[in-house]
Amino acid sequence: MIRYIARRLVFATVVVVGVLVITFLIVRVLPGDPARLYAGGPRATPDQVDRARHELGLDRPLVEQLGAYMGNVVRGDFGRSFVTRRTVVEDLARFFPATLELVIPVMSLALMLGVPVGVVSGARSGGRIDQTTRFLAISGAALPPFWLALVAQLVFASSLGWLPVAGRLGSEVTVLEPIDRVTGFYTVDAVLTGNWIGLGDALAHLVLPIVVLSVYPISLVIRQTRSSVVEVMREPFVTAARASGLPERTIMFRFVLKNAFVPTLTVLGLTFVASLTGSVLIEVIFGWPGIGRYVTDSIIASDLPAVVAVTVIGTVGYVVVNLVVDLIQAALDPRVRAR
Amino acid sequence: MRTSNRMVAGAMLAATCLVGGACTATAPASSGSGVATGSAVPSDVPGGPTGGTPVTSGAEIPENVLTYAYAKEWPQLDPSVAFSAEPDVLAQVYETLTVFNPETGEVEPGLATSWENDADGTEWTFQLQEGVKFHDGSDFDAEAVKFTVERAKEINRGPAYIFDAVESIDTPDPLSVTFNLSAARPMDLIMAAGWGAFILSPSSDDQPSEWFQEGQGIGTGPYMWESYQPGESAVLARFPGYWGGWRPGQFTQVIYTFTPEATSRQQELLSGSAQLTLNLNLEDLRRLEADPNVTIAPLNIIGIRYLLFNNARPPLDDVDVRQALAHSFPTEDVVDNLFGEYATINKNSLVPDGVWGHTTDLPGYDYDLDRARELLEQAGVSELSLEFAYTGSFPEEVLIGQLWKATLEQLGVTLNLRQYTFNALIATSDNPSTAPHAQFEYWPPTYPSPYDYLFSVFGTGQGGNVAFYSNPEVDELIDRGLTESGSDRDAAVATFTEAQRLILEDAPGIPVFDQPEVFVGDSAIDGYLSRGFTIYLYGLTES
Repeated sequence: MIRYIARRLVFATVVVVGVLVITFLIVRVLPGDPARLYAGGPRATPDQVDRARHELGLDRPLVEQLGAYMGNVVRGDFGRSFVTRRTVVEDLARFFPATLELVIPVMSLALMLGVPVGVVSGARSGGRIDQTTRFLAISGAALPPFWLALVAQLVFASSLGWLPVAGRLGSEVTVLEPIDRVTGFYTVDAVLTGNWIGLGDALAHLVLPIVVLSVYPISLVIRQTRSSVVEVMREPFVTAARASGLPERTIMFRFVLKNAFVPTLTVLGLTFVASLTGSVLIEVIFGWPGIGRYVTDSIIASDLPAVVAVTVIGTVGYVVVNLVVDLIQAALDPRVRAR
Repeated sequence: MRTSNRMVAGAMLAATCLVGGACTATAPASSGSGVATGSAVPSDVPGGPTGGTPVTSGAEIPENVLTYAYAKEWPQLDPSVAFSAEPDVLAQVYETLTVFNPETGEVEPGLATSWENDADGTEWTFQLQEGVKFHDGSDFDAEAVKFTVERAKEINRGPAYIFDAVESIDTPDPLSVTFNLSAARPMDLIMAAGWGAFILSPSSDDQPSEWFQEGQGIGTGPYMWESYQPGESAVLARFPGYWGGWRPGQFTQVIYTFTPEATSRQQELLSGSAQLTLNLNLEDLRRLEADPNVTIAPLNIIGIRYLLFNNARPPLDDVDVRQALAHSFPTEDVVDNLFGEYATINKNSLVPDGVWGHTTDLPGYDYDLDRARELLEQAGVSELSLEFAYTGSFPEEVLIGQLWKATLEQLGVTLNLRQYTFNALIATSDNPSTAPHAQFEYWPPTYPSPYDYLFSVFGTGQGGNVAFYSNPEVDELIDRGLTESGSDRDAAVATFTEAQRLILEDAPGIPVFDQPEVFVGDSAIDGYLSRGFTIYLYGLTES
């Protein structure tokens, strides 16, 4: 097992370095002049643009820039954003928790709702429950999240007035009961500082984006779990277990679910990491200051340090989550360890 | 420590948020009316505080909060460096010596009560307002003005070039400041600039740029920084010691919430969670015109939109071809069908209405396809295919492109519409051989002078000159106009008018329309006031 982990870690390092180099080079050749942007856009004088280019080190040879950047990254310094002028680490510390505060509940919902519904649906394959579930899951996976977001805003915020339209906190809480920043997770910070009014407001602001964002992962997990369950139930060992007279409940939990959960876990892991940077449309519509919005703005502005940092961190996220998923799989399924 | 009153208020608020629905900061909207005469200056606040009746803050002023659903981020909050959308907030925190009024086209007293210059325009003396305090309680005086200008020159980034001719600054007494210039400059206009001229307290001397980026800064403006969460919100609080005083109904706090999506901003306004917003889609504005609960206020922020042709790419290097394109552009169709009252056709001047030097007397290009056809034949051009570039930052651009494409088809000219990101278009436009054949350019000036528009957009080699236009005679006139505007404004008007005549003849591009910034607010809010470059939130009152 230790050799397996070591092998995976070496492979992961190669992937991260490769992604860093490729991203660095791609961002540098994208159309857009960060020096002009830094100096003030179209209003900047040619002299100011030249000065900005020198200040940002963009007049140095590409290889030299890459070498210096990689050296800094190793020391944990991702540089300073050309746009926000703050260090990228500061920006990430601000924007990542906002996204995680959305994505963690979304994934929990996908796990807690998607898996049981998928199991029931698969176990009763072809029945009325299965048909209804499949219809809902396909609809949920097919509906564009941005459309759902706009409709949800219109109905639950504007028309019914039950929930806030956008943002992480309401105006009154921002002014009267601001949440002191500890971890960047407003719900956690509100609890830590005993700000119950802030907690209520933060929770109210989380409802719509979480519901909208979770529709797709829940649907995906239901479909994946269902099809795995159906597949596993056809396996000879299930037939053998049935023939040996084991109760259906034991067969389902000890044999079917354990095997069917492996592909679902992979889907959950990948969806989790994809949601970190992929929820940009939802973040834009709900005015949510998350990492998706940050990286999109950075790409548009050719903000090299920010784009490379988010990509590298995204890659590390993928690699780590995949590793964890693989280790769980290996624990569940000895055949994985043997490969 | 939290007071019991705050706890009670907070508990009531939580109940509202959780049970009753979306939080609202102010009283419900009363019935109101459609489009306001937004650019009109309220009679009791002509140029800002100087015309107001000072009222000291007291218990009789109701506590009210303005939530402003805002669209953009502020890249740079250091007033000496900021060169983007930052005046939207900086103009509430800091003030300038003079204030530009786009209704009269004149500069009015701001932190300076009067000013005078010598005959050749190289020495300008400003008399300063007495009794003005900075947010930290220190006195505003001549040293603060000197500090601000010298700091901008030392940092030398962004808008610092507006002070390029300042050689030295004298402070003969605390309420007088004299600028000694190397060449004549219109310092009365420069000190009203939307960027770079905000007076900041000398106590910020040791503060690094990061300090400003955290949402801090000490000005003399009606509002002070309270908090700033990048990407999320910014809170300004009323400065109790503001020299202009406070009137009932003015806002005690302003909360900017950053909501990039226009539809979401509209929802925030309609649900009552915001009382003011801007930059909504035109289609939505039309619908909102009928809503009695909102007021639409287009404010003149002296911005103009040009259609520029790439003069360096054949056959657009031929003036006949450019003039043909100018005659083919359906300005009336574009403005009437797409913008209505949210834009003003301007075919005759490269300077927008509201800025001195604007004229309606110069010949512009009317929509005339027969004349365009003649000019193309004269140039020997047929089977022309052009690229028109647009960005997502101005959503109507693509619609304008489609309208123009339809008219050009009648001339046998194919217009290919191509979308770029804003930054990519700027980079592509750095090189004449890769720059598109045609693109729109929106220009708000750094300070209110024809020079800023003509030099930046039509001066040889300038960053805004994406037409790659170069006419030494025009360059000479623009330079002369700059000097004259510091010494003889009438002569400068004549010179700038002549420069505009030459440019219009050469048709490196055409002026299309003056574009206001359209604000939409709760109908209970009144007093929309432009300070030349942005809305002045001190002018707003709530009934």
